[in-house]
Amino acid sequence: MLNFNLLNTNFILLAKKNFLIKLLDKISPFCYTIHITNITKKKRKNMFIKIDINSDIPIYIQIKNEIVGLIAKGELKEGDKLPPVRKLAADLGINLHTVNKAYNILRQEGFIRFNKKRGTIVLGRNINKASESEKEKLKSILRTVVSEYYCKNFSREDIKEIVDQLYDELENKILV
Amino acid sequence: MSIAFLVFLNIIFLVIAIFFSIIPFLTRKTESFGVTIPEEVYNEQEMVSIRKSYRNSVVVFGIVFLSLLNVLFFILPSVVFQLYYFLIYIFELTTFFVFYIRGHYRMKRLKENKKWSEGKKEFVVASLKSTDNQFSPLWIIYYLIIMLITLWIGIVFYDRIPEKVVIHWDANFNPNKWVSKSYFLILFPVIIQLFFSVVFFISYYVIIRAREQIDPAKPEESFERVRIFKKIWANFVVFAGFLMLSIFLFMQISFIVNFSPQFIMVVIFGLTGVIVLASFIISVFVGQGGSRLKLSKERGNKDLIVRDDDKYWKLGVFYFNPDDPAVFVEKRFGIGWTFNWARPLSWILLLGLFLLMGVIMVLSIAGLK
Repeated sequence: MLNFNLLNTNFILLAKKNFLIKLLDKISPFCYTIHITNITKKKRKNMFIKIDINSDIPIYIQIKNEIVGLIAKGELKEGDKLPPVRKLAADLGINLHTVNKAYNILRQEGFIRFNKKRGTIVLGRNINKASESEKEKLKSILRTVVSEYYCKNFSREDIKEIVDQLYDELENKILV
Repeated sequence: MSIAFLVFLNIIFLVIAIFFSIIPFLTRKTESFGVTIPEEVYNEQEMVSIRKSYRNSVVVFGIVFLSLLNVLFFILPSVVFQLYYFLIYIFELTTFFVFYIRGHYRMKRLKENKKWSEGKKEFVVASLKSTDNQFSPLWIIYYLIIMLITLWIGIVFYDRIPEKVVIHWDANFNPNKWVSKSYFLILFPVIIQLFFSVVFFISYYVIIRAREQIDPAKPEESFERVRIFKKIWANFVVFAGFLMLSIFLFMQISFIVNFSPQFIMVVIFGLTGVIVLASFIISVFVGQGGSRLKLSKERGNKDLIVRDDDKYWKLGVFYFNPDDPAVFVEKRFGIGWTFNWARPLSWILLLGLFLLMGVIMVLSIAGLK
Protein backbone atom coordinates (compact mmCIF):
# COMPACT_ATOMS: atom_id res chain seq x y z
CA MET A 1 0.00 0.00 0.00
CA LEU A 2 1.25 3.45 -0.78
CA ASN A 3 0.43 6.47 1.21
CA PHE A 4 0.69 9.71 -0.71
CA ASN A 5 0.51 12.63 1.60
CA LEU A 6 0.07 15.79 -0.42
CA LEU A 7 -0.58 18.91 1.64
CA ASN A 8 -2.56 17.12 4.31
CA THR A 9 -4.59 15.07 1.93
CA ASN A 10 -4.03 11.39 2.04
CA PHE A 11 -4.26 9.50 -1.18
CA ILE A 12 -4.00 5.84 -0.59
CA LEU A 13 -3.02 3.75 -3.55
CA LEU A 14 -2.70 0.03 -3.64
CA ALA A 15 0.47 -1.40 -4.98
CA LYS A 16 1.27 -5.04 -4.68
CA LYS A 17 4.72 -4.99 -6.12
CA ASN A 18 7.56 -3.69 -4.06
CA PHE A 19 9.46 -2.39 -7.06
CA LEU A 20 6.66 0.04 -7.84
CA ILE A 21 7.07 1.58 -4.41
CA LYS A 22 10.79 1.90 -4.96
CA LEU A 23 10.32 3.38 -8.41
CA LEU A 24 7.84 5.96 -7.15
CA ASP A 25 10.18 6.85 -4.35
CA LYS A 26 12.97 7.45 -6.86
CA ILE A 27 10.97 9.75 -9.09
CA SER A 28 9.07 11.36 -6.25
CA PRO A 29 10.73 14.78 -6.53
CA PHE A 30 9.09 15.11 -9.90
CA CYS A 31 5.63 13.93 -9.04
CA TYR A 32 5.65 16.35 -6.16
CA THR A 33 4.42 13.77 -3.76
CA ILE A 34 5.30 14.64 -0.24
CA HIS A 35 6.18 11.30 1.11
CA ILE A 36 5.72 7.78 0.05
CA THR A 37 5.87 5.32 2.84
CA ASN A 38 5.52 1.65 2.66
CA ILE A 39 2.95 1.39 5.39
CA THR A 40 2.73 -2.35 5.21
CA LYS A 41 6.17 -2.33 6.77
CA LYS A 42 5.82 -2.39 10.50
CA LYS A 43 6.72 0.97 11.89
CA ARG A 44 8.84 1.10 14.98
CA LYS A 45 8.07 3.68 17.59
CA ASN A 46 10.35 6.63 17.53
CA MET A 47 12.58 7.24 20.53
CA PHE A 48 13.49 10.54 22.09
CA ILE A 49 16.13 11.79 24.45
CA LYS A 50 14.82 14.37 26.88
CA ILE A 51 17.20 16.65 28.69
CA ASP A 52 16.29 18.94 31.55
CA ILE A 53 18.36 22.05 30.89
CA ASN A 54 18.20 23.52 34.37
CA SER A 55 18.68 20.27 36.27
CA ASP A 56 21.53 19.74 38.75
CA ILE A 57 22.37 16.51 36.97
CA PRO A 58 25.04 17.16 34.32
CA ILE A 59 23.77 16.86 30.75
CA TYR A 60 26.19 14.07 29.77
CA ILE A 61 24.87 11.98 32.67
CA GLN A 62 21.31 12.70 31.57
CA ILE A 63 22.09 11.57 28.02
CA LYS A 64 23.75 8.43 29.32
CA ASN A 65 20.79 7.70 31.63
CA GLU A 66 18.27 8.20 28.84
CA ILE A 67 20.07 5.79 26.53
CA VAL A 68 20.60 3.18 29.26
CA GLY A 69 16.89 3.51 30.08
CA LEU A 70 15.90 2.88 26.45
CA ILE A 71 18.21 -0.13 26.26
CA ALA A 72 16.83 -1.53 29.52
CA LYS A 73 13.25 -1.19 28.29
CA GLY A 74 14.25 -2.96 25.10
CA GLU A 75 13.29 -0.02 22.91
CA LEU A 76 16.87 0.29 21.76
CA LYS A 77 17.87 -3.14 20.53
CA GLU A 78 21.13 -4.78 19.67
CA GLY A 79 22.43 -3.47 16.34
CA ASP A 80 20.45 -0.22 16.45
CA LYS A 81 22.32 2.87 15.43
CA LEU A 82 22.68 5.93 17.60
CA PRO A 83 22.78 9.33 15.89
CA PRO A 84 26.26 10.73 15.14
CA VAL A 85 27.68 12.89 17.93
CA ARG A 86 27.46 15.99 15.76
CA LYS A 87 23.82 15.48 14.89
CA LEU A 88 22.67 14.70 18.42
CA ALA A 89 24.56 17.73 19.73
CA ALA A 90 23.04 19.97 17.06
CA ASP A 91 19.52 18.69 17.68
CA LEU A 92 19.88 19.20 21.43
CA GLY A 93 21.73 22.49 20.93
CA ILE A 94 24.51 21.48 23.31
CA ASN A 95 28.27 21.21 23.09
CA LEU A 96 29.79 18.38 21.02
CA HIS A 97 32.05 17.38 23.89
CA THR A 98 29.07 16.77 26.16
CA VAL A 99 27.60 14.21 23.79
CA ASN A 100 31.04 12.76 23.17
CA LYS A 101 31.55 12.29 26.89
CA ALA A 102 28.20 10.51 27.24
CA TYR A 103 29.01 8.20 24.30
CA ASN A 104 32.46 7.42 25.69
CA ILE A 105 31.04 6.45 29.06
CA LEU A 106 28.43 4.28 27.35
CA ARG A 107 31.18 2.58 25.40
CA GLN A 108 33.34 2.01 28.46
CA GLU A 109 30.38 0.45 30.23
CA GLY A 110 29.70 -1.84 27.30
CA PHE A 111 26.38 -0.45 26.10
CA ILE A 112 27.56 0.69 22.69
CA ARG A 113 30.49 0.28 20.36
CA PHE A 114 31.95 2.51 17.68
CA ASN A 115 32.25 1.16 14.19
CA LYS A 116 34.15 3.10 11.55
CA LYS A 117 31.74 2.23 8.78
CA ARG A 118 28.42 1.97 10.56
CA GLY A 119 28.77 4.59 13.27
CA THR A 120 27.69 4.08 16.86
CA ILE A 121 26.02 0.73 17.43
CA VAL A 122 23.96 -0.37 20.42
CA LEU A 123 25.08 -3.63 21.98
CA GLY A 124 21.78 -4.23 23.72
CA ARG A 125 21.02 -5.68 27.12
CA ASN A 126 22.29 -8.94 28.57
CA ILE A 127 25.33 -8.66 26.35
CA ASN A 128 27.96 -7.86 28.86
CA LYS A 129 28.53 -9.16 32.30
CA ALA A 130 29.34 -6.46 34.79
CA SER A 131 32.94 -6.45 35.91
CA GLU A 132 33.86 -6.38 39.57
CA SER A 133 34.58 -2.68 39.51
CA GLU A 134 31.27 -1.97 37.76
CA LYS A 135 29.40 -4.06 40.31
CA GLU A 136 31.05 -2.06 43.03
CA LYS A 137 30.17 1.22 41.33
CA LEU A 138 26.50 0.31 40.87
CA LYS A 139 26.34 -0.88 44.44
CA SER A 140 27.68 2.40 45.70
CA ILE A 141 25.05 4.30 43.68
CA LEU A 142 22.38 2.07 45.17
CA ARG A 143 23.86 2.54 48.61
CA THR A 144 23.40 6.31 48.34
CA VAL A 145 19.80 5.86 47.20
CA VAL A 146 18.95 3.33 49.92
CA SER A 147 20.59 5.57 52.52
CA GLU A 148 18.40 8.43 51.45
CA TYR A 149 15.27 6.24 51.63
CA TYR A 150 16.43 4.98 55.03
CA CYS A 151 16.84 8.52 56.35
CA LYS A 152 13.34 9.34 55.18
CA ASN A 153 11.87 6.42 57.07
CA PHE A 154 11.19 3.97 54.25
CA SER A 155 10.97 0.40 55.46
CA ARG A 156 12.84 -2.50 53.89
CA GLU A 157 9.54 -3.64 52.32
CA ASP A 158 8.80 -0.18 50.93
CA ILE A 159 12.11 -0.10 49.16
CA LYS A 160 11.72 -3.64 47.87
CA GLU A 161 8.31 -2.79 46.52
CA ILE A 162 9.69 0.22 44.68
CA VAL A 163 12.46 -1.87 43.16
CA ASP A 164 9.95 -4.52 42.09
CA GLN A 165 7.80 -1.90 40.49
CA LEU A 166 10.73 -0.43 38.57
CA TYR A 167 11.76 -3.90 37.46
CA ASP A 168 8.22 -4.59 36.24
CA GLU A 169 8.27 -1.38 34.26
CA LEU A 170 11.35 -2.53 32.41
CA GLU A 171 9.76 -5.87 31.63
CA ASN A 172 6.63 -4.14 30.43
CA LYS A 173 4.44 -5.74 33.07
CA ILE A 174 3.03 -2.34 33.89
CA LEU A 175 2.33 0.29 31.32
CA VAL A 176 4.03 3.53 32.19
CA MET B 1 5.43 52.49 -20.34
CA SER B 2 3.15 49.52 -20.64
CA ILE B 3 0.35 48.68 -18.26
CA ALA B 4 1.67 45.08 -18.20
CA PHE B 5 4.74 46.36 -16.40
CA LEU B 6 2.58 48.14 -13.82
CA VAL B 7 0.50 45.02 -13.26
CA PHE B 8 3.72 43.09 -12.75
CA LEU B 9 4.96 45.61 -10.16
CA ASN B 10 1.61 45.47 -8.37
CA ILE B 11 1.71 41.68 -8.18
CA ILE B 12 5.20 41.66 -6.67
CA PHE B 13 4.15 44.30 -4.18
CA LEU B 14 1.04 42.41 -3.15
CA VAL B 15 2.87 39.10 -2.76
CA ILE B 16 5.35 40.74 -0.37
CA ALA B 17 2.63 42.56 1.59
CA ILE B 18 0.30 39.58 1.91
CA PHE B 19 3.12 37.30 2.97
CA PHE B 20 4.34 39.73 5.63
CA SER B 21 0.83 40.24 6.97
CA ILE B 22 0.32 36.52 7.61
CA ILE B 23 3.77 35.55 8.97
CA PRO B 24 2.79 35.75 12.69
CA PHE B 25 -0.01 33.28 11.95
CA LEU B 26 2.35 30.78 10.33
CA THR B 27 4.99 30.44 13.07
CA ARG B 28 5.27 27.62 15.53
CA LYS B 29 2.87 27.96 18.45
CA THR B 30 5.83 28.03 20.84
CA GLU B 31 7.09 31.37 19.58
CA SER B 32 5.62 34.65 18.50
CA PHE B 33 7.44 37.68 17.06
CA GLY B 34 10.75 36.01 17.80
CA VAL B 35 9.95 35.38 21.46
CA THR B 36 9.69 31.94 23.08
CA ILE B 37 6.31 31.28 24.68
CA PRO B 38 4.49 28.25 26.13
CA GLU B 39 2.11 26.84 23.55
CA GLU B 40 -1.09 27.27 25.56
CA VAL B 41 -0.76 31.07 25.71
CA TYR B 42 -0.59 31.37 21.92
CA ASN B 43 -4.31 32.05 21.72
CA GLU B 44 -4.59 34.37 24.72
CA GLN B 45 -6.37 37.68 24.15
CA GLU B 46 -3.28 39.88 24.38
CA MET B 47 -1.27 37.65 22.05
CA VAL B 48 -4.04 37.68 19.46
CA SER B 49 -4.29 41.46 19.71
CA ILE B 50 -0.54 41.95 19.12
CA ARG B 51 -0.73 39.74 16.04
CA LYS B 52 -3.82 41.50 14.71
CA SER B 53 -2.41 44.94 15.33
CA TYR B 54 0.72 43.96 13.38
CA ARG B 55 -1.36 42.56 10.54
CA ASN B 56 -3.56 45.67 10.37
CA SER B 57 -0.53 47.96 10.25
CA VAL B 58 0.95 45.93 7.42
CA VAL B 59 -2.32 45.98 5.48
CA VAL B 60 -2.90 49.73 5.95
CA PHE B 61 0.65 50.72 5.02
CA GLY B 62 0.63 48.18 2.24
CA ILE B 63 -2.36 49.98 0.71
CA VAL B 64 -0.67 53.38 1.19
CA PHE B 65 2.55 52.26 -0.53
CA LEU B 66 0.65 50.46 -3.26
CA SER B 67 -1.35 53.62 -4.02
CA LEU B 68 1.88 55.59 -4.02
CA LEU B 69 3.42 53.14 -6.49
CA ASN B 70 0.49 53.49 -8.86
CA VAL B 71 0.23 57.27 -8.56
CA LEU B 72 3.97 57.74 -9.14
CA PHE B 73 3.72 55.50 -12.17
CA PHE B 74 1.33 57.93 -13.80
CA ILE B 75 2.72 61.29 -12.64
CA LEU B 76 6.47 60.70 -12.89
CA PRO B 77 8.28 60.72 -16.26
CA SER B 78 8.80 57.07 -17.13
CA VAL B 79 12.60 57.43 -17.21
CA VAL B 80 12.61 58.65 -13.62
CA PHE B 81 10.11 56.03 -12.52
CA GLN B 82 12.14 53.20 -14.03
CA LEU B 83 15.21 54.36 -12.16
CA TYR B 84 13.64 54.80 -8.74
CA TYR B 85 10.60 52.50 -8.43
CA PHE B 86 12.65 49.93 -6.53
CA LEU B 87 12.89 52.42 -3.65
CA ILE B 88 9.21 51.84 -2.91
CA TYR B 89 9.95 48.17 -2.31
CA ILE B 90 12.77 49.09 0.03
CA PHE B 91 10.44 51.43 1.94
CA GLU B 92 7.80 48.72 1.98
CA LEU B 93 10.16 46.12 3.46
CA THR B 94 11.69 48.56 5.95
CA THR B 95 8.27 49.61 7.21
CA PHE B 96 7.14 46.03 7.64
CA PHE B 97 10.33 45.24 9.53
CA VAL B 98 9.68 48.21 11.84
CA PHE B 99 6.19 46.81 12.51
CA TYR B 100 7.74 43.45 13.30
CA ILE B 101 10.20 45.09 15.74
CA ARG B 102 7.30 46.81 17.47
CA GLY B 103 5.50 43.48 17.81
CA HIS B 104 8.72 41.89 19.05
CA TYR B 105 9.15 44.40 21.87
CA ARG B 106 5.46 44.29 22.82
CA MET B 107 5.74 40.50 23.05
CA LYS B 108 8.90 40.76 25.15
CA ARG B 109 7.22 43.12 27.60
CA LEU B 110 4.17 40.90 27.81
CA LYS B 111 6.38 37.91 28.55
CA GLU B 112 8.21 39.77 31.31
CA ASN B 113 4.94 40.75 32.96
CA LYS B 114 3.17 37.42 32.67
CA LYS B 115 5.90 35.03 33.85
CA TRP B 116 4.31 32.12 31.95
CA SER B 117 7.21 29.77 32.45
CA GLU B 118 6.96 29.64 36.22
CA GLY B 119 6.46 26.12 37.50
CA LYS B 120 7.40 24.66 34.13
CA LYS B 121 10.54 22.84 33.14
CA GLU B 122 12.68 23.76 30.17
CA PHE B 123 13.57 20.68 28.20
CA VAL B 124 15.39 19.92 25.00
CA VAL B 125 14.46 16.83 23.06
CA ALA B 126 16.22 15.01 20.26
CA SER B 127 14.94 12.12 18.21
CA LEU B 128 17.11 9.04 17.92
CA LYS B 129 15.61 8.41 14.52
CA SER B 130 16.59 10.91 11.86
CA THR B 131 14.44 12.34 9.11
CA ASP B 132 17.30 12.20 6.66
CA ASN B 133 16.70 8.66 5.41
CA GLN B 134 13.81 10.11 3.39
CA PHE B 135 16.21 12.16 1.28
CA SER B 136 18.35 11.25 -1.66
CA PRO B 137 20.28 13.88 -3.62
CA LEU B 138 20.08 11.83 -6.83
CA TRP B 139 17.84 14.48 -8.37
CA ILE B 140 21.03 16.34 -9.26
CA ILE B 141 21.24 13.86 -12.16
CA TYR B 142 18.06 15.34 -13.64
CA TYR B 143 19.67 18.76 -13.42
CA LEU B 144 22.78 17.52 -15.20
CA ILE B 145 20.61 16.09 -17.96
CA ILE B 146 18.85 19.45 -18.44
CA MET B 147 22.22 21.20 -18.58
CA LEU B 148 23.52 18.72 -21.16
CA ILE B 149 20.39 19.19 -23.28
CA THR B 150 20.83 22.97 -23.08
CA LEU B 151 24.45 22.69 -24.17
CA TRP B 152 23.63 20.17 -26.88
CA ILE B 153 20.90 22.39 -28.38
CA GLY B 154 23.32 25.30 -28.46
CA ILE B 155 26.01 23.30 -30.24
CA VAL B 156 23.75 21.55 -32.75
CA PHE B 157 21.82 24.66 -33.77
CA TYR B 158 24.74 27.08 -33.54
CA ASP B 159 24.48 27.92 -37.25
CA ARG B 160 20.88 29.04 -36.86
CA ILE B 161 21.66 31.68 -34.23
CA PRO B 162 21.53 35.19 -35.75
CA GLU B 163 24.65 37.41 -35.66
CA LYS B 164 23.06 39.69 -33.04
CA VAL B 165 20.87 38.34 -30.25
CA VAL B 166 18.53 40.48 -28.19
CA ILE B 167 18.99 39.87 -24.49
CA HIS B 168 17.00 42.71 -22.98
CA TRP B 169 13.82 44.64 -23.70
CA ASP B 170 12.46 47.82 -22.18
CA ALA B 171 9.05 48.02 -20.55
CA ASN B 172 7.41 48.50 -23.97
CA PHE B 173 8.95 45.32 -25.38
CA ASN B 174 11.40 47.26 -27.55
CA PRO B 175 14.79 45.58 -27.69
CA ASN B 176 17.44 47.70 -26.01
CA LYS B 177 20.37 45.34 -25.55
CA TRP B 178 22.09 43.07 -28.01
CA VAL B 179 25.06 40.74 -27.89
CA SER B 180 27.07 39.21 -30.69
CA LYS B 181 26.93 35.55 -31.49
CA SER B 182 29.78 33.63 -29.90
CA TYR B 183 30.52 30.27 -28.33
CA PHE B 184 30.30 31.95 -24.97
CA LEU B 185 26.73 32.92 -25.79
CA ILE B 186 25.56 29.31 -25.97
CA LEU B 187 27.60 28.49 -22.89
CA PHE B 188 26.05 31.32 -20.93
CA PRO B 189 22.67 29.66 -20.13
CA VAL B 190 24.55 26.55 -19.00
CA ILE B 191 26.76 28.61 -16.68
CA ILE B 192 23.69 30.19 -15.10
CA GLN B 193 22.12 26.75 -14.81
CA LEU B 194 25.24 25.54 -13.08
CA PHE B 195 25.04 28.46 -10.68
CA PHE B 196 21.41 27.71 -9.86
CA SER B 197 22.18 24.01 -9.44
CA VAL B 198 24.76 24.96 -6.81
CA VAL B 199 22.32 27.34 -5.11
CA PHE B 200 19.52 24.78 -5.03
CA PHE B 201 21.84 22.02 -3.92
CA ILE B 202 23.01 24.14 -1.00
CA SER B 203 19.40 24.95 -0.10
CA TYR B 204 18.58 21.26 -0.18
CA TYR B 205 21.61 20.49 1.97
CA VAL B 206 20.57 23.15 4.47
CA ILE B 207 17.11 21.61 4.74
CA ILE B 208 18.25 18.05 5.38
CA ARG B 209 20.98 19.16 7.79
CA ALA B 210 18.85 21.66 9.68
CA ARG B 211 18.13 21.02 13.33
CA GLU B 212 15.12 18.83 13.98
CA GLN B 213 13.50 21.07 16.52
CA ILE B 214 11.19 19.04 18.71
CA ASP B 215 8.64 20.31 21.20
CA PRO B 216 9.28 18.52 24.55
CA ALA B 217 5.58 18.73 25.40
CA LYS B 218 4.67 16.46 22.49
CA PRO B 219 7.71 14.90 20.85
CA GLU B 220 5.95 12.35 18.60
CA GLU B 221 3.66 14.87 17.00
CA SER B 222 6.24 17.57 16.53
CA PHE B 223 8.75 15.11 15.06
CA GLU B 224 6.16 14.12 12.47
CA ARG B 225 5.49 17.77 11.70
CA VAL B 226 9.18 18.51 11.24
CA ARG B 227 9.59 15.42 9.07
CA ILE B 228 6.80 16.43 6.69
CA PHE B 229 7.86 20.08 6.78
CA LYS B 230 11.39 19.16 5.72
CA LYS B 231 10.23 16.72 3.06
CA ILE B 232 7.84 19.21 1.48
CA TRP B 233 10.38 22.02 1.32
CA ALA B 234 13.14 19.73 0.09
CA ASN B 235 10.83 18.61 -2.70
CA PHE B 236 9.91 22.20 -3.37
CA VAL B 237 13.58 23.13 -3.75
CA VAL B 238 14.07 20.34 -6.29
CA PHE B 239 10.93 21.40 -8.13
CA ALA B 240 11.78 25.12 -8.12
CA GLY B 241 15.32 24.41 -9.32
CA PHE B 242 13.90 22.29 -12.10
CA LEU B 243 11.70 25.18 -13.29
CA MET B 244 14.59 27.61 -12.90
CA LEU B 245 16.83 25.45 -15.09
CA SER B 246 14.01 25.12 -17.60
CA ILE B 247 13.85 28.91 -17.89
CA PHE B 248 17.47 28.92 -19.08
CA LEU B 249 16.86 25.99 -21.36
CA PHE B 250 14.10 28.14 -22.83
CA MET B 251 16.56 31.04 -23.08
CA GLN B 252 18.89 28.86 -25.16
CA ILE B 253 16.01 27.92 -27.46
CA SER B 254 15.01 31.59 -27.77
CA PHE B 255 18.46 32.35 -29.24
CA ILE B 256 17.65 29.98 -32.07
CA VAL B 257 13.90 30.36 -32.56
CA ASN B 258 12.71 33.92 -32.98
CA PHE B 259 10.03 34.12 -30.27
CA SER B 260 8.10 37.32 -29.76
CA PRO B 261 9.23 39.25 -26.66
CA GLN B 262 5.71 38.98 -25.25
CA PHE B 263 5.87 35.19 -25.46
CA ILE B 264 9.29 35.16 -23.79
CA MET B 265 8.00 37.36 -20.98
CA VAL B 266 4.94 35.17 -20.46
CA VAL B 267 7.07 32.03 -20.21
CA ILE B 268 9.66 33.55 -17.86
CA PHE B 269 7.18 35.28 -15.58
CA GLY B 270 4.80 32.34 -15.78
CA LEU B 271 7.44 29.90 -14.55
CA THR B 272 8.70 32.31 -11.89
CA GLY B 273 5.09 32.90 -10.85
CA VAL B 274 4.54 29.17 -10.41
CA ILE B 275 7.57 29.04 -8.07
CA VAL B 276 6.36 31.99 -6.00
CA LEU B 277 2.78 30.75 -5.87
CA ALA B 278 3.85 27.23 -4.86
CA SER B 279 6.04 28.52 -2.05
CA PHE B 280 3.21 30.73 -0.86
CA ILE B 281 0.69 27.90 -0.81
CA ILE B 282 3.11 25.57 0.98
CA SER B 283 3.88 28.26 3.56
CA VAL B 284 0.21 28.73 4.34
CA PHE B 285 -0.78 25.08 4.46
CA VAL B 286 2.27 23.67 6.17
CA GLY B 287 3.32 26.52 8.46
CA GLN B 288 6.70 26.94 10.08
CA GLY B 289 8.01 23.62 11.35
CA GLY B 290 4.85 21.95 10.00
CA SER B 291 2.83 23.76 12.65
CA ARG B 292 -0.25 24.15 10.47
CA LEU B 293 -0.42 20.57 9.25
CA LYS B 294 -3.55 18.80 10.34
CA LEU B 295 -2.17 15.84 12.22
CA SER B 296 -3.62 13.79 15.02
CA LYS B 297 -2.87 15.60 18.25
CA GLU B 298 -0.65 14.03 20.83
CA ARG B 299 -1.74 14.41 24.42
CA GLY B 300 1.54 15.62 25.74
CA ASN B 301 3.00 16.85 28.97
CA LYS B 302 2.16 20.52 29.32
CA ASP B 303 4.65 21.07 32.15
CA LEU B 304 7.52 20.78 29.72
CA ILE B 305 8.36 23.82 27.63
CA VAL B 306 10.94 24.49 24.97
CA ARG B 307 14.25 25.99 25.98
CA ASP B 308 14.19 29.73 26.18
CA ASP B 309 17.07 30.83 23.96
CA ASP B 310 15.72 34.31 23.27
CA LYS B 311 18.98 35.94 24.32
CA TYR B 312 20.75 34.33 21.35
CA TRP B 313 18.17 35.70 18.89
CA LYS B 314 19.15 39.27 18.20
CA LEU B 315 15.95 41.23 17.50
CA GLY B 316 14.30 37.82 17.39
CA VAL B 317 15.64 37.30 13.86
CA PHE B 318 19.41 36.81 13.88
CA TYR B 319 20.66 33.73 15.68
CA PHE B 320 24.10 33.98 17.22
CA ASN B 321 24.95 31.21 19.65
CA PRO B 322 28.59 30.09 19.90
CA ASP B 323 27.63 27.23 22.23
CA ASP B 324 25.27 25.65 19.72
CA PRO B 325 26.90 23.29 17.22
CA ALA B 326 23.88 23.56 14.90
CA VAL B 327 24.58 25.65 11.81
CA PHE B 328 21.12 25.65 10.23
CA VAL B 329 18.13 26.33 12.45
CA GLU B 330 14.46 27.11 11.92
CA LYS B 331 13.59 30.78 11.56
CA ARG B 332 11.60 32.36 14.34
CA PHE B 333 9.68 34.85 12.24
CA GLY B 334 9.06 33.57 8.75
CA ILE B 335 9.14 30.29 6.94
CA GLY B 336 12.23 28.20 6.43
CA TRP B 337 15.67 28.14 7.97
CA THR B 338 18.36 30.58 8.93
CA PHE B 339 22.00 30.40 9.94
CA ASN B 340 23.66 30.32 13.30
CA TRP B 341 25.90 33.30 12.65
CA ALA B 342 28.33 32.18 15.33
CA ARG B 343 29.37 29.25 13.12
CA PRO B 344 32.03 29.89 10.47
CA LEU B 345 30.27 27.61 7.97
CA SER B 346 27.39 30.11 7.80
CA TRP B 347 29.76 32.85 6.68
CA ILE B 348 31.69 30.56 4.36
CA LEU B 349 28.46 29.60 2.59
CA LEU B 350 27.28 33.19 2.35
CA LEU B 351 30.59 34.53 1.09
CA GLY B 352 31.00 31.59 -1.26
CA LEU B 353 27.64 32.37 -2.80
CA PHE B 354 28.50 36.05 -3.25
CA LEU B 355 31.85 35.10 -4.72
CA LEU B 356 30.18 32.74 -7.17
CA MET B 357 27.71 35.46 -8.17
CA GLY B 358 30.58 37.89 -8.67
CA VAL B 359 32.51 35.44 -10.83
CA ILE B 360 29.48 34.81 -13.02
CA MET B 361 28.80 38.52 -13.37
CA VAL B 362 32.40 39.25 -14.37
CA LEU B 363 32.36 36.30 -16.75
CA SER B 364 29.16 37.40 -18.46
CA ILE B 365 30.31 41.00 -18.77
CA ALA B 366 33.63 39.87 -20.25
CA GLY B 367 32.17 37.14 -22.42
CA LEU B 368 29.00 38.70 -23.78
CA LYS B 369 29.70 41.60 -26.08
